[in-house]
Amino acid sequence: MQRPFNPLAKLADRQKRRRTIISLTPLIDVVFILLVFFMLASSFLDWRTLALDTSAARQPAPSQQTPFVVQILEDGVALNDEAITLEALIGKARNRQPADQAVSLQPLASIRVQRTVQVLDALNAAGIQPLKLVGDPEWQAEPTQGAGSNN
Amino acid sequence: MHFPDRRPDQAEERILPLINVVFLLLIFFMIAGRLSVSEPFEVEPPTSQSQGAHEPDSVAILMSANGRLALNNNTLAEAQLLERIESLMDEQPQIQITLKADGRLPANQLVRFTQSLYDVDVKKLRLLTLPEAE
Repeated sequence: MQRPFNPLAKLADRQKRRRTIISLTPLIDVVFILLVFFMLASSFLDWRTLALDTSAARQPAPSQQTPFVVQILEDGVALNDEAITLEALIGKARNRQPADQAVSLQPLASIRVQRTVQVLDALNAAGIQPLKLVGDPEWQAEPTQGAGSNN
Repeated sequence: MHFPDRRPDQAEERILPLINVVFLLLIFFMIAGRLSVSEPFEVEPPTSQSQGAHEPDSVAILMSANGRLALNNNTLAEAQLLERIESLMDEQPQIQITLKADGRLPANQLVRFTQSLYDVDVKKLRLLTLPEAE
């Protein structure tokens, strides 16, 4: 049932509604705080991963084969202790016998992870598989490492 | 013909587009961003051209430039960490481990650590990297 037309009642309704509406300023304050929180707390880094778990990593190389060992140097690579360009290395790795032999990457003692990942990238991009990382027997843990492993 | 004046105040009306924009920004940051978890020490992962996908829910091991270790953001000594990984591997043998190592870490230390991870039966190990800057 409709109410009869009454301009005064309508005006009273409107004033009532006006009072119950949330005032905008606190709303904006809260929304700004939420905005600043999400801007500071969220990260937009584009993470990628690189497989380190080639099955070759756990299989010992057959002893009758000469291993295909690539040494990673600061400014290049060396194949079986002989400095070589990356292009020549990729060529040799493609023609290695047998073709499923693992290419071992051996970073020298002074080499950092970043440089190793560069060489891994280059060989991965050339489609050379399987790759495995081997340690340099001459490398010794730095003295800071012992202190760092304490809780 | 007379329409009742339903328009809000002048001041409120001027502020409405601002609120619209702020709400849009808020929704953008809520949806597009991933809340970053603070790490116990600073780690700068190496840059790489690799395209491998990152599973954010995998077990994360942090390794700082001086060899400090943390498992899921708890700093641990190497022996304790390997112990925990070993018991985790018993429960879920196929779980993926993500290693976030600093790019300045000596590579041989990383190699030795991955070997000890393989020794406790880790099967899927991936190194976290960032794409190269243009």
